[in-house]
Amino acid sequence: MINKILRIALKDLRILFADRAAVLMMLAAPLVLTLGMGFVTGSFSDDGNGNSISDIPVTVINNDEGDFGRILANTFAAPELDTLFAVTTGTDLAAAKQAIDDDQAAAVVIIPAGFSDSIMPDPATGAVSDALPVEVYSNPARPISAGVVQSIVADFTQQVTTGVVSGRVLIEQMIAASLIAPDEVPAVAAALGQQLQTSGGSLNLIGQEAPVIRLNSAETTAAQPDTFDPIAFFAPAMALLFLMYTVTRGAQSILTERDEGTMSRILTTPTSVSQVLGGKTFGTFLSGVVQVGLLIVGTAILFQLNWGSPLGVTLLIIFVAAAATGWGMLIAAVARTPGQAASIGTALMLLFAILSGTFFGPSADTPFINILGSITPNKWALDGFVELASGGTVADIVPMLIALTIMAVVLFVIAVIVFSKQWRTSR
Amino acid sequence: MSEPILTTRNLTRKFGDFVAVNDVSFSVLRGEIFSLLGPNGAGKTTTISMLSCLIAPTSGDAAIDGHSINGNPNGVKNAIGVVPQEIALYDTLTARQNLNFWGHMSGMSGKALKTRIEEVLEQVELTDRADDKVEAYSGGMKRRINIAVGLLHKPKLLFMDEPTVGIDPQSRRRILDMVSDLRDQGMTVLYTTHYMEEAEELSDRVGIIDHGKLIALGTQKELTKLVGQQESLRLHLGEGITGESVQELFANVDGVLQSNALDGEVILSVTEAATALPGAVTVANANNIRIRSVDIQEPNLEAVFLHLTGRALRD
Repeated sequence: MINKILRIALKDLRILFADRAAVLMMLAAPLVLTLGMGFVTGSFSDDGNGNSISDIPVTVINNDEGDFGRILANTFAAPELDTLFAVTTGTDLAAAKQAIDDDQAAAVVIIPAGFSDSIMPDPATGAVSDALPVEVYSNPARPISAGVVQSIVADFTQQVTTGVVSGRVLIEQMIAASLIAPDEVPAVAAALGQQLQTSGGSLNLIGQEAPVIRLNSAETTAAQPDTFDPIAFFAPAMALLFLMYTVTRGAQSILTERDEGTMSRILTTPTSVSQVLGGKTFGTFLSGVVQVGLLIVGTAILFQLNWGSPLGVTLLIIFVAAAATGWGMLIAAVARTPGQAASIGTALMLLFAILSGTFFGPSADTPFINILGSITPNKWALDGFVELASGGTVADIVPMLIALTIMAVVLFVIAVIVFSKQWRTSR
Repeated sequence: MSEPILTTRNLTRKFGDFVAVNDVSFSVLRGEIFSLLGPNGAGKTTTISMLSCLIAPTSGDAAIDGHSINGNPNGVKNAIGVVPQEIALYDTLTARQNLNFWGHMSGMSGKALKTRIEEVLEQVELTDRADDKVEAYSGGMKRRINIAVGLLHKPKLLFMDEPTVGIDPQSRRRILDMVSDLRDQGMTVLYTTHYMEEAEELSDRVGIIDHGKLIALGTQKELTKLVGQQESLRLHLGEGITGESVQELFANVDGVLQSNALDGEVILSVTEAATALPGAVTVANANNIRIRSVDIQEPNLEAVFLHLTGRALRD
């Protein structure tokens, strides 16, 4: 039973991958489109020479005379970030902006005058006011590099804010516990503020070494929503777009075998209808798995794309291939001819791509797409792949896996019912 | 060659109101080549489809090697091999890959399958082209691989459905020789054709089928006895003259028992060709009909078909 299903599936796989035109459509086309989308979105234009992220030209204008401004400015020149940034310090904002317009800089960081003072608690009352914002001017032609700079500034600001809030909470608790009198608040606040400054924004309340701001890795930076690498969206989007092409080929092959008599011939051997359909279905599923798997490996190598958890990616490939195969079987069940199957498949391929936001990029997360896209395997899988590329775990993609499973089961059951009716009629 | 391997009983298949096969009963004996002879649309392929369990009979049954096509299709499928009328192969696979796949579908595997593949490739004389893709083959070569697939698992009964349709005379000759070899090897073959010469050359017995009904069955000798000592005069007419327009003229010639028209020719069933021919020529001259050539044929299966149906096999 299983042996024949496997034989039929492997035969289909062999036929499919022996077809050069099919391979071009399945593998080359999505890679080329991903590459094109990468160029369109500027993902490959960083530093003007490809996709490497190093020596990011950044200009720092420090108008603050306090310690916090100095610490932030020094962060970009820290030894551990030496290869990442090429820092220029300056005072001329207009010149710095011009450098961005001329694509000479990826970003300009402007630390406002009084930045440190705005962070420090009022020495008289211990009250904390809103800190003055650090401004970052980004070069839109270098989205990844500018994103890295923004990420570092945001990280710094976050640490300082946390330190200030911690200090306020600490003082309130000390008053509540009668450890200090209200008139001692200014002195304690001053002491805490001093510690905050020397530690670069973190309160060392339990004697641990204060953390310093650092860029952990390029991937960590890319995982932030505002610095997400568009390629991490377009690569799976294009793979899923062309997955529908592959399952449509599977649907066509069922009808072609019926028309050309090979299916009838198989049925003259001791092979059941369910084995034949099982083999064709499994062959389509395998083709999808191999295609998406190859594309993921290919894009990981070509575009140095980090897809995230290997287990999660593997599970997503399997589940989305199953759901797409369900659609393929439904196409085979309702189409009368291979040509009809091709037409329906192409229409669904494009419709699914539109509904899942394939052509619009990661910003296409609209209610329209969220609702209508739910009927597409593309949307669920795309959400899953983006989640994984953003550092998500297998647990984070469980909802997507469940949705894809439901889709696969429902579509397969419908297809089997339709096939059974057709078979009874033809017999 | 005595006990039947195949027996059909009142086999009938309807498609809506259309009766494709009508109450057909016959037997095929072990070791014989049995031909179902009939024009296109006579019900030959539908009969084969029922016997190979592809479609269910509307009524009736058949037993193959002791297995009912209604009750035990798997038993039937284990006993039969099928060479369909259309070439049912995977064009983008090589002949060897095709044979390997079809062998597995027939339940073969391992070394036995490998050995058998080499044997059938030898048998159809395609060993040297075994690793070429089928799409690169000529029509005749595809037909031979199509047959090889049917032979692969050494079936007890081989169905060959019009295996020579659409190929050149040389390839056709090769296939007919191959079928003769199968008979010599003791294989039982149910062969369908609308070529009278093939049925005559190959068959131990012939069943003549028309409009879904089996209208005659027997050896060639037994069948030709049905038309007595009749001979056939085939008159090939000049260009622009349709057979239908002159059919009635020749029907009145002395010695002509039956006149049938085909495209560009008239076939006359006559008691004696030598007697009827002068009268036919006279009628032709009198009506300005040019006879380009004349064939005189001894009693044969075509004459039998003509005698039984009033139509030529190619109608």
